[in-house]
Amino acid sequence: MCDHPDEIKDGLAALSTDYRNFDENNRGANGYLFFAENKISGRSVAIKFYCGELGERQHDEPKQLAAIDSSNVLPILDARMVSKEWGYFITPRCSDGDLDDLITTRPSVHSAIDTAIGICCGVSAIHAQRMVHRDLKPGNIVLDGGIPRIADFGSVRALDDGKETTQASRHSILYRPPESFNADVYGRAGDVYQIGLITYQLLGGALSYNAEDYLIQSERKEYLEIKDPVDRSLYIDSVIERRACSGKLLDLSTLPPWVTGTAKRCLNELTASDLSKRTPTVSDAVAKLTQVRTSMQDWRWDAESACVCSGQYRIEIRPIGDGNYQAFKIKNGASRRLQGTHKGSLQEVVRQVL
Amino acid sequence: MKVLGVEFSSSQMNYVAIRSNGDAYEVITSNRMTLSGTRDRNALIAFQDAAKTLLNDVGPDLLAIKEKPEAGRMQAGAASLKMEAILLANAPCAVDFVSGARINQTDDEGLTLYAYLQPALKAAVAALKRKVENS
Repeated sequence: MCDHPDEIKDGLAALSTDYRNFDENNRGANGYLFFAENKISGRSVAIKFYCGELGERQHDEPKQLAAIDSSNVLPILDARMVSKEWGYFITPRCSDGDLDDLITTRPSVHSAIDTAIGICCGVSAIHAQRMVHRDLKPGNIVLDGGIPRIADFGSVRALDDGKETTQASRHSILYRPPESFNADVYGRAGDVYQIGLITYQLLGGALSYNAEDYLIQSERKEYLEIKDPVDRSLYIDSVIERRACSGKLLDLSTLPPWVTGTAKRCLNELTASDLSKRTPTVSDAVAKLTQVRTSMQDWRWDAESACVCSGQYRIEIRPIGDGNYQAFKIKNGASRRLQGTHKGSLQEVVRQVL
Repeated sequence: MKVLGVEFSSSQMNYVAIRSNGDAYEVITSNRMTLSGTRDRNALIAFQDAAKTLLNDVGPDLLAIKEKPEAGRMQAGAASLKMEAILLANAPCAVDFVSGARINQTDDEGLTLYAYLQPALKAAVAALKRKVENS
């Protein structure tokens, strides 16, 4: 901790009266984040130090976080200043990790949709205060006992009176909605777009964080000819912008075969690049998600097998080598081949089971 | 003033939100939500989160629910009653249960709304009228 600004060292020293076991977390951006444990209650907390220029917006993040009352938004426990520029705020520590961690565990269909609905609930509380988040992404949503909680308020902006949009955020180009590229604006529908991308990821859709994965062959050739790292980064940004604006960022074919047409239509509507075709509000988004939940069985991955429970028995689609799968019915611990199905690709076997 | 009109039909919650400054009103949003299981805890929690989202988003001053009998031949199903309970528990405003007779007295129809949304609209309009009469 010796590389930190003096203000943070002083702040941590003051906090050590009431907290112990300080542990820095370098995963987040926009400030310094530490985890610690309260000496009396034993409660684990997250302490975020931030630096802001003097002015009205200096303490925007803790102020905005404190204004929202929702079980899907991280509550603020305390906020203090350590100097004119530096301050910190304390929130509960959510030990279940963030949504990126959940996505890597390949959640079941219903768990994925329930998480997306929880995020919508948190976002609706933000919108109710005439604010937009502008930086919804898996890394900014933490899990607390399975409940998604929106955590990072560094990009939140209030909408001016009489206006329905504000300036676009410069954070996370991958999640930036098309209108932010085109017109540098961001409104409530921008948050809906970001929820759409997160839902797609939760359902198993591929959205690579490696920017070079978005290059097609001709673009990769051009890219490799660029020597300057800044120009390279700008080139990749322009490729992602083109993909987002043409509605080709998502590849619905990467979704598992049990994702229904209703779900795919919903994802297309949540992430439509044309604002007039996009689901306009979080309540409309959540209404669609409840319908998607009903349209799909609760498929889940169990190692490399795909499973679904149906009444008294469970169906497992297991890999049997050579890229082929076979469906089995498991009842009272006994497993036998599911009648009326034959081996094939995962997609073919799932289609037979559905 | 914003009124959220709701009708429960089977496992669906149909809703229409209207805004009025006097006699006239405008529809601000309408849609339907579904409860995917009546004895599935996660499904009920998901529906509760969805209902909270709607209430946050609309910010109604009055909730109008089309009344359904809790007993008898025409009684509401388990899904309807559970959805109604969840909505009531989370309502941030007064609730007006609108009887079938009051709904029938309302001849307003949303020409651009689907047929399945008309009872929710009528419930909202009937509750709005009563609120205006009583104020």
